[in-house]
Amino acid sequence: MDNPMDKKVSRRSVLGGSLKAAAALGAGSALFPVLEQRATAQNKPWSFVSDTTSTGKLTVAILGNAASNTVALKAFKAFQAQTGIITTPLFINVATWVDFFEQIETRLIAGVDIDTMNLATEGFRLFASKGVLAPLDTYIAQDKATVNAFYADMNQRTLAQFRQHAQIDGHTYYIPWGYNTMGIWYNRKTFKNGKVSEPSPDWTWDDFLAAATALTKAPNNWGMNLTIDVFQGIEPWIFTNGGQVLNSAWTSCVIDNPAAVEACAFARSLVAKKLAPSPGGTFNQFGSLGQGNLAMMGAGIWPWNYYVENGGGSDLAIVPWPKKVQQGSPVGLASFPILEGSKSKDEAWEFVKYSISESFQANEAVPIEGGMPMRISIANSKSFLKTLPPGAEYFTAALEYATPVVGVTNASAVEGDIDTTWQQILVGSISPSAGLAHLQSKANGELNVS
Amino acid sequence: MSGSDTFPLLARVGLSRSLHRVRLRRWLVSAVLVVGGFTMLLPELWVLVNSFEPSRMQFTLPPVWFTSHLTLASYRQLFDLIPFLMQLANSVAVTVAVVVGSSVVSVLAAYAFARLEFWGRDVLFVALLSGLMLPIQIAAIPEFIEVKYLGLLNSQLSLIFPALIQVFGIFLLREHFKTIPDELEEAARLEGAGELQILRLVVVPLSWPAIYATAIITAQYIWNDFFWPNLYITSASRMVAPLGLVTLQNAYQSGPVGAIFAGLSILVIPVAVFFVFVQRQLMEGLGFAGISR
Amino acid sequence: MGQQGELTLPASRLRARQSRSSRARARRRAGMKAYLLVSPALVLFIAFIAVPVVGIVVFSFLQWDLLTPPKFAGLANFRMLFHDGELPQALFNSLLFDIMTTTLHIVIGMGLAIAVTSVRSRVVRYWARTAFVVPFLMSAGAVAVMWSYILSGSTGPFNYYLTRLGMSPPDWLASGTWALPSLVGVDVWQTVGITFIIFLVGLQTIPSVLYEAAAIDGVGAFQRFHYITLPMLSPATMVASITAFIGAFEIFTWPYVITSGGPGNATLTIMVYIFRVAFRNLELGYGAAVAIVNLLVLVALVLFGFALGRRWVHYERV
Repeated sequence: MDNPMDKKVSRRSVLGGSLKAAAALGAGSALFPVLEQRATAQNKPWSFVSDTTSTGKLTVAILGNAASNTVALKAFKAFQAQTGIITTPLFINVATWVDFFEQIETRLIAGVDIDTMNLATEGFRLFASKGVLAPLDTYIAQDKATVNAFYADMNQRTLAQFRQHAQIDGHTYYIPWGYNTMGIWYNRKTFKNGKVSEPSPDWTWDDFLAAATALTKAPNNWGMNLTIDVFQGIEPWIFTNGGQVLNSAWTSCVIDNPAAVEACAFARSLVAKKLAPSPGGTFNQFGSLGQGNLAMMGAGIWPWNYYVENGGGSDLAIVPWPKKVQQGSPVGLASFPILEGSKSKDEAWEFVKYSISESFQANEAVPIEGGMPMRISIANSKSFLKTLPPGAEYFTAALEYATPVVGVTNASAVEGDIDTTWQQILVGSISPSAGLAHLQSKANGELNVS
Repeated sequence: MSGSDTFPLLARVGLSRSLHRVRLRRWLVSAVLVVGGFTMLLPELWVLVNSFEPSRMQFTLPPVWFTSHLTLASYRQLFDLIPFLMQLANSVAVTVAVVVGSSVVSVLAAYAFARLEFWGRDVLFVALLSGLMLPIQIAAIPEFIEVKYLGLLNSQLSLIFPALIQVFGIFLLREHFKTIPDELEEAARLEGAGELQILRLVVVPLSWPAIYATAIITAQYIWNDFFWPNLYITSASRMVAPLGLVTLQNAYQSGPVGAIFAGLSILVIPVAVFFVFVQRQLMEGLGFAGISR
Repeated sequence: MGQQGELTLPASRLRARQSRSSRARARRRAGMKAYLLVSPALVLFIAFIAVPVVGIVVFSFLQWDLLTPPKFAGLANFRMLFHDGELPQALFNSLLFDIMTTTLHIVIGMGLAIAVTSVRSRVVRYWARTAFVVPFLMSAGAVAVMWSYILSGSTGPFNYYLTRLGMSPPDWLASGTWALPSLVGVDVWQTVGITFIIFLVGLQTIPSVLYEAAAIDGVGAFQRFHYITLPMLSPATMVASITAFIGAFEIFTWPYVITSGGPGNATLTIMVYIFRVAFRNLELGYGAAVAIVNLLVLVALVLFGFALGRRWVHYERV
């Protein structure tokens, strides 16, 4: 019998064994950063995505999506070329602004350096309340002429709304370089093949319903797609029926009004009649619209990046949202604030100025974030509109009647509740009147908490 | 009278009709099992087939099961959209590191609990057992803070270190180590062996099946886990592969279906194929280890 | 001392070891060595299990959003528990999910195991053991993504085939009544394989003598099941149930990835709720308070389960 004890164990061999293990561990843990470096150095859309290797002076967090990242990258290179400031974009691919804010918060908690980021109206008060935004007053005073010239080139109604909602205690925390309003994107070829005349700019809910009905064919062809969120989903329908979500001072929720109930019922009927796929599932609306399987969808200008990157945009056009009582649309402002914890505030201010400059507005506004440029001179210019699908000018026209989108302090809770109720109504789990009544009381409870 | 002698007797005595019924029943059961098994695998088959189709055929109704237009476009898109290769490497590295590390930790501790006497042994062991029943996600909040202040947030190490303590493994191995005959240990001690030597030369060689079983159970647990990677990792290049796919699905309302199907296929198929070949050893190990999940 | 650092002992030392004081010394030395062996596990346990559990209690007295310094909140979090409308729903959903999934696990797992052992063909047995266990090898995140496409109401293949068969299926993941059962289905699909194996192993430990004796006595198939199989499997059933039960109560991946707790909190389980409160709304203190409630409820349920088990489980040795 082979006695295992014949094999003597020397201290040296135990030591040797543990050294080998330590070496393996060390090699392993050194290997991964190297692999990561190599992975991010490739010329792929997700390259340059770096909260792991911050090489530059400025880190800009962008709400991107996998498809639009390459387009946005070019814009950053232009800024770098112009100003010489090395900029690291940080692409965060999520579906909603609320998710984006969470991701930013998580990174700030984890100690990642972020200097500036996409800020939308929806998240402004949320971030301001956490003290992560730096006031811009001193910078604005420094460059007064530039900023005032920009304000003068803005839609004055929008400027007034901005002044009402975007200042806290008299301090300015952002300058909106762009905006989005809602319109209907439609596939002209689908309309032509279905022998339906293209929508006119002042079309009504009934015109819309007729088109959707004519262009829906089970199982793969849908007339419309509805999304579950505040900006694209529920607000356009409510506003075009003259309803409201919050009161004008944003202190209470008034969504339980007859106009809103009627709007929700109408949207629900689209799903019930199977003109729109059941919302909340996995439906690739951009792809479907491009391929012609979807006739219409609601969006701002942001899908354009997807079509630039993936093709399929040549058949598309845009019209205003169909009206019932009046023309209506939400409006959300986009900006680059400066984060309080930033160590490169001056460079970040350069970036802010760049974002309101004419060259950015004309060439990079749409690609970097999918927002229309705030400068009227650019937004109405023929050369700019030529780069976009026909009908993009309606987005600018909507500024004359648009309502600012909900952007309260506890945005996560309130928006989450609106999204949830909206989905339940669309799916038929709850009636519009009951759902909105419940939502109003819940939202008011949360608004008073803030 | 031994039972096994009676069956041929009964058969010969003409209970052929009930045996016929039994055979029919067995045939039915077999059919159900075969069809049932096939239905279980149908979802993965659908994903696999779709992943090789051109995008206009993917995720359409009726589903396209057979086509001559096979393409690798979805796979290419997958690697373009996320650093999937890196993420796969992360998955493998984390799993291997935890399996190896926790096995070492468990073997050492189980040996001490099983075969050594020391003050406080039973109290400590009972305390450890409490970790067995506790699903640690409950304590996610303080653990997150701990990981943050250890500077491990958003690092693969955050998935490795906390997972090195697998109380189940300690428990299982202790049960097994207790069954090792004392004579072997005494013989080793007489030869002058210390604890580590006994462990390495006597206990472990006799326990490989149990150690493998613990390793396999731990590997499955880590590989399967979604909660901790989701909580700790935010950078795409540090994610484990399943988390990468989930974030890809969440990308701005237009989750690229083809790329996701490609990723799912890569995650599923090799593991399934591997399993088909090692099934017997796995079963033996699990059976040996007794009842486990 | 042996040459070259080898750890051998001369005979004289061996004899000395057998003296009393030396034995005590040896036991103490074994004590030291034992502590060294146990220390990695102990350190890790304290760091990553004990401290966090204590941490939940500590945190429940704080208000902390991680971006600003923590504040002491006294009993405020606990008072909030009673005004929380979503907490009872989360607990209820978790319990419902738990009972459904555990029951299905036991029924299907046992059924499969019995079916497989009753079949003669090795091929069929191998096939069953593979096909039903392969889903268990998939990572939960991947499974969640996969099923969110398959169960998609208007665009997924599952509903398409059901409609072709003449049914009018609901939108599984968007329906208030069907969302939670759908998640149960996904969970059972992925994990029934392991319960199946557990019962398979358990069945093999039942001595065939029992069945043969029953056959001689002319006992029917159903009674064989009721009087032999079920009791003999009860330890396995107990273990499978308890582990399934604990895991299922804390289920996170399915409700988080597939339905995000919706529609309208229909699939909000307790762990998703804690996650949402702590890491989405950044109310860590309140999240800790909810976690304490979670722990207490779980302990109560498990103790109840053990009590049931003591009445029903046979540990007879034949």
